[in-house]
Amino acid sequence: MTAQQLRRDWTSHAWERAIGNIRYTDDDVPRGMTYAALVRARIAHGQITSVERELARDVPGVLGVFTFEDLMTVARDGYHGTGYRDQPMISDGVVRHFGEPVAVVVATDQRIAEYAAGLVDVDYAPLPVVLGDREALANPEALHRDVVPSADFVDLKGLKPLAENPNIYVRSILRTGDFDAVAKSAAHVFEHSFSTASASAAPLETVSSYAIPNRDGSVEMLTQTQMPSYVRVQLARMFGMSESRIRVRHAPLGGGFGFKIYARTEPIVMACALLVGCPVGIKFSMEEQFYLPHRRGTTTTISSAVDEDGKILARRCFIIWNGGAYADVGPRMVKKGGNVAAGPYEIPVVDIESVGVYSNRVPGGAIRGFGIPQIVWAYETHGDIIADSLGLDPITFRRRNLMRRNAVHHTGTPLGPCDPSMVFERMVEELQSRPLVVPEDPELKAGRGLAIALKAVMGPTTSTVKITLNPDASATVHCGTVEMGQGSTIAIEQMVADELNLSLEEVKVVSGDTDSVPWDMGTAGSRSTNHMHKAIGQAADDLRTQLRSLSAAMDTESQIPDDVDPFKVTGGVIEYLRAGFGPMGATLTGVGAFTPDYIPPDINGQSERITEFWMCAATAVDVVVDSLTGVVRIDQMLTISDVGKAINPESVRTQLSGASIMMASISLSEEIRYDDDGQLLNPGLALYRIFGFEDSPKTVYADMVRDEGDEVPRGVGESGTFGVAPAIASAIHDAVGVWMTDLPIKPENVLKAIEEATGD
Amino acid sequence: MIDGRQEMVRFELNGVPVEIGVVMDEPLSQVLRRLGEATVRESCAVGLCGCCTALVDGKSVSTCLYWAVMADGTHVETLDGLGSDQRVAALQGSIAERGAAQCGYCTPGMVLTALELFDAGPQSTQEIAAHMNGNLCRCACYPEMTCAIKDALMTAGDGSAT
Amino acid sequence: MPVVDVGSVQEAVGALSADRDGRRLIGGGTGLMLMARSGFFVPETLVSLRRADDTELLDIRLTGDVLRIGALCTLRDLELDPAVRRHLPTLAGVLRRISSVRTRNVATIAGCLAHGDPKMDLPTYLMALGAELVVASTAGRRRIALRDFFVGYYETVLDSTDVIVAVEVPTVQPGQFTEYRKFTGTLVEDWPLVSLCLNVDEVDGAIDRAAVTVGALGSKIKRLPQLEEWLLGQERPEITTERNLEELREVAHSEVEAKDDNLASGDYKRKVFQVELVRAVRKWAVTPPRAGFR
Repeated sequence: MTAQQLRRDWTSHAWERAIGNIRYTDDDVPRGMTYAALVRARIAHGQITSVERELARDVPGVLGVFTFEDLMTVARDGYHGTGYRDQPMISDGVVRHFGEPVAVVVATDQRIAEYAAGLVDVDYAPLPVVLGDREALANPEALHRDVVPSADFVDLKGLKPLAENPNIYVRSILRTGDFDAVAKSAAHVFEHSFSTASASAAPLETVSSYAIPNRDGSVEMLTQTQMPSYVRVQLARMFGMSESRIRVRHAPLGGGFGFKIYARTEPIVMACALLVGCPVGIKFSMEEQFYLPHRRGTTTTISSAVDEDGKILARRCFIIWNGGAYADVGPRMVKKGGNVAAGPYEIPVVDIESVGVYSNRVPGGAIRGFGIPQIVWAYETHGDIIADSLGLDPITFRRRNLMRRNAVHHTGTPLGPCDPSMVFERMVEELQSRPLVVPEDPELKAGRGLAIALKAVMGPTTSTVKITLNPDASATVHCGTVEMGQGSTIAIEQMVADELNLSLEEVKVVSGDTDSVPWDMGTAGSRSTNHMHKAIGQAADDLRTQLRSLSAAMDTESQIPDDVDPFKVTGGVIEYLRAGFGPMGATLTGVGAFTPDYIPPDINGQSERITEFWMCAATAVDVVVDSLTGVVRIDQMLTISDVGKAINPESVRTQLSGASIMMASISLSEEIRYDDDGQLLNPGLALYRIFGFEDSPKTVYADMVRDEGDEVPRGVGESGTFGVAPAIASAIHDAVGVWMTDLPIKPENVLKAIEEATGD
Repeated sequence: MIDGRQEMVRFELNGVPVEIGVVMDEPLSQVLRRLGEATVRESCAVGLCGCCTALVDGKSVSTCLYWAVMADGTHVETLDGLGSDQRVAALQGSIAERGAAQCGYCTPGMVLTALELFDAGPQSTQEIAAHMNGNLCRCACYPEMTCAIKDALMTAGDGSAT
Repeated sequence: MPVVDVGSVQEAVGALSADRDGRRLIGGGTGLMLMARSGFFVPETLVSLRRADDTELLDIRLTGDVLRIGALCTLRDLELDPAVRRHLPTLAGVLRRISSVRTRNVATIAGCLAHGDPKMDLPTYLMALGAELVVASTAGRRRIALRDFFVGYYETVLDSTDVIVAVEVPTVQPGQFTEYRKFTGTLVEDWPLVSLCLNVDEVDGAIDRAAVTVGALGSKIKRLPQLEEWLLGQERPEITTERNLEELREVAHSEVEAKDDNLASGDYKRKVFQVELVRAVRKWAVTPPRAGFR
């Protein structure tokens, strides 16, 4: 096979990677790069009392050993964060989590920098360490004082820590009635509590960034980021530079998963580069990467009032999000997670309180799913336990309660074309054709479980696109979507080709450089394809208008009639360009900028427009449980998702399948562990174990549904993650009759539950 | 210890003799990176993920755990040097057909590790998974990659590749 | 010189004796590189036998009832070797579940043993089979039974100037049954959380000789004499009566201890050991006696 023989589609995406044709960020490090290494705190909380750096400074090749104060000599604001500006570039004198950088060493080579970093001696006056979710909530000592809201996002307007408990940096309420009043007269009331551990996205391409100061005072930043535009804004703000003087470049990412978002290492290398006056880069090892934000741990208490028939009458949730040392994406996650915490069910009364708290864990960030999997874990397992208690099967219970077509969500925002019941019925149908396989060995027990979930897209945020028609009518597309394996380049090519009536070979996507690419909030939260689709539509309309006015110079019969799409006129575009610019034509650029409408919720969390769109997905798994050791293996896993129009069905299936396996790994195997002093015990892949080939389910099936006439692509990247954990728990119950309520589900805990149930 | 002392090591890289100074405890992965081998990618740095796979004297190794000083006198091959290998071509073709790469960071290592399967002929899905288990893919393209390898082994069995 | 290439085992011993602290013998070097990368230990000089023309280091040779495996044989060599497959038919299966093929392509049998890591699979298996090491030192050669080899956590009886020359493993005999059980917990492949090997000879349906080893649980891999004692004389299928198995579990419970760690409680690991032991015994009870070649 050769590149010429390939279709420009998902096949070529995989081909480029199989032949090693993708150049990642570290493959093109500019010459003359020097390297920064971080000195990391060996305690989880304390005041820095001294930093002894003479030994490190004396190492040949070391260009500088810097503390926060040093970095601040070149920065205007040393703090960043998306909800609050609470995170210093490196520790500002107080260490708030184990592994927090307290100093940075720059040297001519990475080995020297790392060696010298080991010679920096730091002393601390320790402070009390708070790690657990409930302990963090009850902590009387404020971990931060006077944090400043960032005001970057319209949906985080008015954010401020609670006066009565400043460790609660956000509280989100969604209330449609009085739970207690309903519960008092309900046939049944259930309450359960669920927890999730912290986890790391651990992309295999470990984080790096490189700052190159230019002689004219501008700076180029080559970095692995899902949010190049936002990184530029933050650097400009922090270093008091005009955005036009900062160029952020990136290559395709070797995995993103929501890990490479916002400003992370970029401010550090930027400050160092300005201090030493030459290019400075940083490249994290896999182990170091574990000190970057984690999927945050949660504790969720959920109660439901249910009638005789299993209809849910009211639901109350209280969710603690353990945010670690800095809020990061916490404020938004707490709100968005809280909004959907009652699940895709018709429930007249919901009462949800969702709080984000500071602790001395590594900061909480996001992994694929943006907090929703933690929420789904609670409400779907809770639902299964209720169904079981009432003697209902999980399918009947869900059918009695699921939101249907044209439903209005608890927030007051309509679901639009998203139909949970359609997704669910398709899954039920699929399961009927796949009977559960029962192992011959009587010590192995098989079981099946399913789950369904709803998520709102990230937002409201802006995507822009610039489409340039070349003189031969081919198109060059400038947009900020980041390719990280999801196939965005192919999808954008395809959307533009469809809109402009071109072949895929005639469309080229340019991205990866903020000097040439217009604003995009970022490639995260399943927003990109949808938002870019709409921006492309606008840009195409802009081009249509311009072509129409060009054609006005032509004779009447060649002009574009009002009811005709100029892109559908054979050979038309070239002629219009020539009519406007002469025989060689010229380029014509159309722009599109899409920002969703948004209505801020009222005091009870109500809004008619809280999200641009909804995503719904169902997951089913068949497990085999070793009843004597508690080991759980997944035999089969199915995902059905309502993705709207699939631009590229093959890549959608791969996204759904990959997301579901990743989440199975997080649900069964992955857990960030701390000791009582807050030391992170298992950084790196030798100690933090992720799924490999043999752990993957034997059968993985992924498919999509959509309402007829739904022509808009919605989110794909996260949907596969939503229901995996509760589907596994439900399957374990089906197999061995016990309910697991803590993630990850560890063999030892399964065995313990089995023994308790059988009275051993 | 950081004394900058280097040892000259000579080996053949993709058929071309190279001579390079290496630090005593430098892993081969980092030396290959310095030589511009972009398909050798260090990730886990403990021999578990397979991203840094190269062939040393025809056998796949985790170069992150391979002493560069011990590579002296060997033949080292990376994916870039195996473009004309029929087995590699068969794998690359089937990976494309199956869409078995998302971010693609692990893919070259997958290809090189899969090569050893060709000696044993067609394999069951379980055998392929067992052989490949030491290669991690965080995008979790495992089902697609297993199918792709199976396809490539079948193609080889047909005699259309060796 | 970072690498001293020696031409023979005796030269290796000499080279190591010249600088006991700074020099280390390298086999495949995977374990040593892990140590170096973690900053735990970086030798100043490696002593390597890669260019030695001493065939006994690479040969796999049958002598009577013993398979002699050269110290520098890689795990992958063993996995694919026809003589190993014939005379130690259960070994390839154990090897296939060790690390990745890339590590097996490099790691040597001697390095695997000398590492002294209780989580290694191969020593647990080989100890149950009654393997012995041939070791060269300044005082000449000596034989060390693998059961006497491990002293503690990452600690063996070897001196830093000793060189393992070969590993000798008794070949499988008629009536012999070997079962290595590796329990990894959540992941299919991982370091063992619990491992054991049962190796028994049977005569007329009764156990005539028994060896049981345990790995991963303590600071070193070791034999379990109480369990071995209990197994002697047990007959199939009676061994699998619930009463017998309960007795077996009790013996295991008293002989095998395990500490809590970050991965699991000691109590859990102990239970799993018993489950896996019973599974191994049950398998013996239903496996027809191995026919002889002779």
